[in-house]
Amino acid sequence: MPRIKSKHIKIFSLLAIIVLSILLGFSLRNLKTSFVIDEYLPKGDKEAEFFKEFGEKFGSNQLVFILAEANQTVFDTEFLKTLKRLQEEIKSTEGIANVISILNSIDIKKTEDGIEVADLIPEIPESKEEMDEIRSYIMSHPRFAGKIVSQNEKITNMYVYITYGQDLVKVIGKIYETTERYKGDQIKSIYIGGMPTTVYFGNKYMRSDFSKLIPVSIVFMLIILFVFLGRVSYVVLALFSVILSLIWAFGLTSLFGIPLTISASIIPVIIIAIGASYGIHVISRYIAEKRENPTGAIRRTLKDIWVPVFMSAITTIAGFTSNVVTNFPPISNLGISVSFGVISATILSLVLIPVVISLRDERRSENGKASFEDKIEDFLRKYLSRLAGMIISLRFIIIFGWIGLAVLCAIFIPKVRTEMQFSAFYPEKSPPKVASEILRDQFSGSVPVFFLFKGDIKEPIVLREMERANYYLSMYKDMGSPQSIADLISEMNWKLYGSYSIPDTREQVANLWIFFEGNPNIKQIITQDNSEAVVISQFKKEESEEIIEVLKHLRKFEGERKFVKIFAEEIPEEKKNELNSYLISELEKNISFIDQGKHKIDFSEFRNHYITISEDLQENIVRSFVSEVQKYVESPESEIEISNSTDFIRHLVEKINNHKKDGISQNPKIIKEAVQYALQKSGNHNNSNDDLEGFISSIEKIFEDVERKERVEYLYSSLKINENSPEIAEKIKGQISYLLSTVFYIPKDVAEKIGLNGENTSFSIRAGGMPPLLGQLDKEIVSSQIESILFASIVIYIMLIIQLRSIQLSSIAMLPIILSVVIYLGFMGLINIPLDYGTLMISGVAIGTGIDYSIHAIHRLRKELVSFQYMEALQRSMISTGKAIIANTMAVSLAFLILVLSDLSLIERFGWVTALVMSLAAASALTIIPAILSIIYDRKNKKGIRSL
Amino acid sequence: MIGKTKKELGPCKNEKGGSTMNINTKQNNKNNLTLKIIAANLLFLSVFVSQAFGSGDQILEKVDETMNAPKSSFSISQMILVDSSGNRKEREMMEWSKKQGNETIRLIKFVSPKDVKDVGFLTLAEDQMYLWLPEFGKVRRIASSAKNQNFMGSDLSYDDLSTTDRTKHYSAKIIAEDDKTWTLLLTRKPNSDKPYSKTEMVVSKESYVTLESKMYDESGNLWKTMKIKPKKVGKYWTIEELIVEDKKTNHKTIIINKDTKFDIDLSDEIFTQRTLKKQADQIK
Repeated sequence: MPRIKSKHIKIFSLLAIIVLSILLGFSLRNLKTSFVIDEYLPKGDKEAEFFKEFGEKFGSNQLVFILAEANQTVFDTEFLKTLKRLQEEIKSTEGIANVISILNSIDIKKTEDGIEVADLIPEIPESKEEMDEIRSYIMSHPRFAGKIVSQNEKITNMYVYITYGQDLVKVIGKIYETTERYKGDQIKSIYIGGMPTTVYFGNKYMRSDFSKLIPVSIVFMLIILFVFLGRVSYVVLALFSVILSLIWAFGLTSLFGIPLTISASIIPVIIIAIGASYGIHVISRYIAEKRENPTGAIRRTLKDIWVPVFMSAITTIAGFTSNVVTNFPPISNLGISVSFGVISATILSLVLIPVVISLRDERRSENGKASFEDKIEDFLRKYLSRLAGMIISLRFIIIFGWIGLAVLCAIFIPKVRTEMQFSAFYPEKSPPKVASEILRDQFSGSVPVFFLFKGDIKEPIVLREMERANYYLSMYKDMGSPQSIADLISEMNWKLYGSYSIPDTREQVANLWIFFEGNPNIKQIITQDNSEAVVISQFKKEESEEIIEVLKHLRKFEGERKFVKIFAEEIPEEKKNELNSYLISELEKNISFIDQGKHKIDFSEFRNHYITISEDLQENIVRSFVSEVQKYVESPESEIEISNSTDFIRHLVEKINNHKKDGISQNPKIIKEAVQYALQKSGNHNNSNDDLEGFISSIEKIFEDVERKERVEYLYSSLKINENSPEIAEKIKGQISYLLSTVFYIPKDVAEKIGLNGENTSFSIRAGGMPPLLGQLDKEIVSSQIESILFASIVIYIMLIIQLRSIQLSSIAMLPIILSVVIYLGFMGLINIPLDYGTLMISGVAIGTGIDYSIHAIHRLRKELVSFQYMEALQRSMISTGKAIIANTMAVSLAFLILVLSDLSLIERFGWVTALVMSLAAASALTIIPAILSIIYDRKNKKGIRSL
Repeated sequence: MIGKTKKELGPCKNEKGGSTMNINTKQNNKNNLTLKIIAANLLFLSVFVSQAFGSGDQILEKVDETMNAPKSSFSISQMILVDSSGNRKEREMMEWSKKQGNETIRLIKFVSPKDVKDVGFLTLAEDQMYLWLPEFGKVRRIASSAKNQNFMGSDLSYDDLSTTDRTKHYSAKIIAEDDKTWTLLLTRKPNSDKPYSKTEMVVSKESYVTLESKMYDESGNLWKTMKIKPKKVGKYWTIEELIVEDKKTNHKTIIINKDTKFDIDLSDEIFTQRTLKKQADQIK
């Protein structure tokens, strides 16, 4: 068997690296991204699952808003024509299920004898008068003003529903392309908003960051490599190693199916910085060894360098894997990718670089030309020697100064806020940010907030609770007007039958329901099997802090509800007072939800009128009843064709007036008797039984409706509410009408307390949307921060103890990074930098990379102390290690500073804050460690021990 | 199809004649003669065919006529709504209809389930529709200019139900043909306000009943598909089963005809608001 030569091993290693790189390069094609916020919570998180389930069931994850801005006003013929063309083109785009705009929103108008269902603008008006009429109608309608047309009348909102299962990036990309073509004379600007756009913009900004940050980082690293390595071939080699590290890192990330998240732009910059740093270490050491003796230089280099490079890699990985243990996907995924990068950089700098050098370079001799490094050495030597002297003379000031600063900063740590909303990270004036601003300022906002109801949604009490949830939500400041099926049922009831309320019975609800069944737009608020429905609204504020605040309001409303259905006629007389008190107190609460506590209402008069029907009310009821009956008998729907309606009415009134004193409501038989009497007297007596029965029942129904309506009006006027909005007035009247129902729905506990029994109905209400999700992310982000700091500190502390073999020295080594972390967290609280998907990682990074400074500082000082007194030892270690730490800090900090070029504010913040923390870690390692060690040395020295 | 073949024949003949002229004039003349005979035969055939079966428009007219042939009708049918998850809802309804001039007046009453029992629709004209919700006790008029609105949660729009004279709104041409069917392409006429920009329909040669339809939206994307199983009741063809599928929502409606009577005596009194209020079994 031929002996395997070392050259063969080298070539084999080189080939293996090339093959591996090609394979990993291919797997880059399958690199996944994740820009859906619910995926940022750990797997199995209940709120994340709930949010996802909601999005799938109600299609909210598929809704895109296209905001088209007109030059003057959207109520312009040419603008609307252009909009129509845009709408048609968007609708024909593959992957689009439906488009609803100002033109085709369904409008239900109340007409004299019914309703008219039509498109909001069936034909675009040509004349100014017609356009003005449409404008004033739309802008006075709460379902359209601020929903499809902005308050300033300059922007329209087009609702685009994407078919489920589509590639969102592709579909939104197409929407973008289309909208771009429509910008011009009529449409000034177009913005796109909504949940799916986060996926599109996330991808867009990540790509833009990658294409900007990677080249800049590489150029920067080339400069650094030139400064430290001098020769082009070494620079190319180090750069090649860095590029392969990037390919390996992303290739492995792809291979393991780990998606890139919003903070992914950080990954290449860190890998480039780390890869270059390892390359510099190996090649500079090789240059130094070769200068001394070219023979065996590479072997000596490897022997000398592998431990520090390996240790440095381990601590860096520990820093980043501290993020992995958090189980917080955006951070742990990044931690894994960077760790892959660090491992790759370690392997490549310890294998690829030595192999290539030995294959190509071993025979060449080093020309002995001093690198730039040597030139700056003299300069640094002077100042670092002085620094050593200063540290010893000012050691107590240094120690207490650092500790004092840390304590001072610690006060501000509780003030650190969190930020998890993607839109907060987008650049100012960027399309998604502007879209969010427009939705916030001109429409009802874009942050989804909802209550999910589970139960039999057609039950009136479920719908009434939904209606209450509607009012409850709209009470909260900056909350857009909520939408639900209850709202639509009430509106339809109002338009068809004159009462803005949920009907009393399930059967009545079912009758109105037929208008909405099969309507594709209803999918957004109710499931197809009617077992789940939502009250959904949008919150105008985008900041996580404000959104989380809403959660407290939502939590007060959610929970299990148990109600009892009680028929008015079955309520014993003695229990009525207690029940009435409860009903009126509920009404009071509901009115305060509707009018948002605007009016101070006195219910004393209401109470009296609720219990008894006054004479003037009785008069009103009879007057209205007679008028309605007259209309009815003259209409084609009357079961009996009355030959002389005036005569019939006269006899009807006569009979009713005879019984007025007894109270008609208390004696429903009166109506039947009066009708029969009037028919007889007016000569309309030849009727079939069916017709007569139908006729009497219709007149009885008219009486019931009229009586209730008149009582509602009377009770409403007794509240003396001076309400300008007719809609709010109608809503309050609707609430009053519930008190006059023949059926009451009472919470089970209240019913039991009063002693009432009835049919049970139960359902549940759960708060959802962005507030619970962000609340959960907030908890996750804070706990991850604590977990990552603890994990990184413990792991690194153990490693330090193993390496330094001294608990005391290990503790001192930990001090600079702990101080740095405390100072930077306090600093964030002080200047209002949020803890986000980027800044969250800084602690881990700072601990992982900053600890190297401490290790180097202690290690060198210990070594020098073997031969020198403390002062001289410190000066010597300052010149050697101090210089290296300063150079490394400058290089790493500058590398992180490249991130300020990112489009995303979280990456930008991560860049400069990390640069600051790294500088802090270096400054503290170079000052506080020698200061503390000098005290320890002095104490030991007094005991005759000349070491640490 | 025949027309198209005839058109293609002209250039084909000229081209072939031109290319062979210099080689063998005799042969060429013989070829020309053969082609002339074929062309003449085809011309005769196409005239015969168009006389026998008519153009696209004529076929469409005949389809409409077939469906509108009865003077009056009464039917009981079952409507099954199937959502995208496969959940089914079943409804049974009775329908009385009668021709009145160019319009068909119609009364629909729901028989089951309990939720919609006795709900009634009375259509006296395209824009004159009355609704009876028994639980509210009042007849209400519904004017709908939103033609795309679906009827009672089904995939049929009010327009699908009311359109009886398609030749007025569409021009039809035959795009395919086999032994048993014609395939027509209906293109909406410029002034029509119908919701479908075009419709492809397969028409039975035997019954002139549409067997399959594909309806396209404004942008030419497939919107709905319809499949019909026809049956003959007396001298009229009618629909035994109809399946409509909305391709945008993945919602499906199946209508099964349980009983149909044609040309029965229906008094005008049936088509009144008064009758609309009655229970289905009380309507005579």
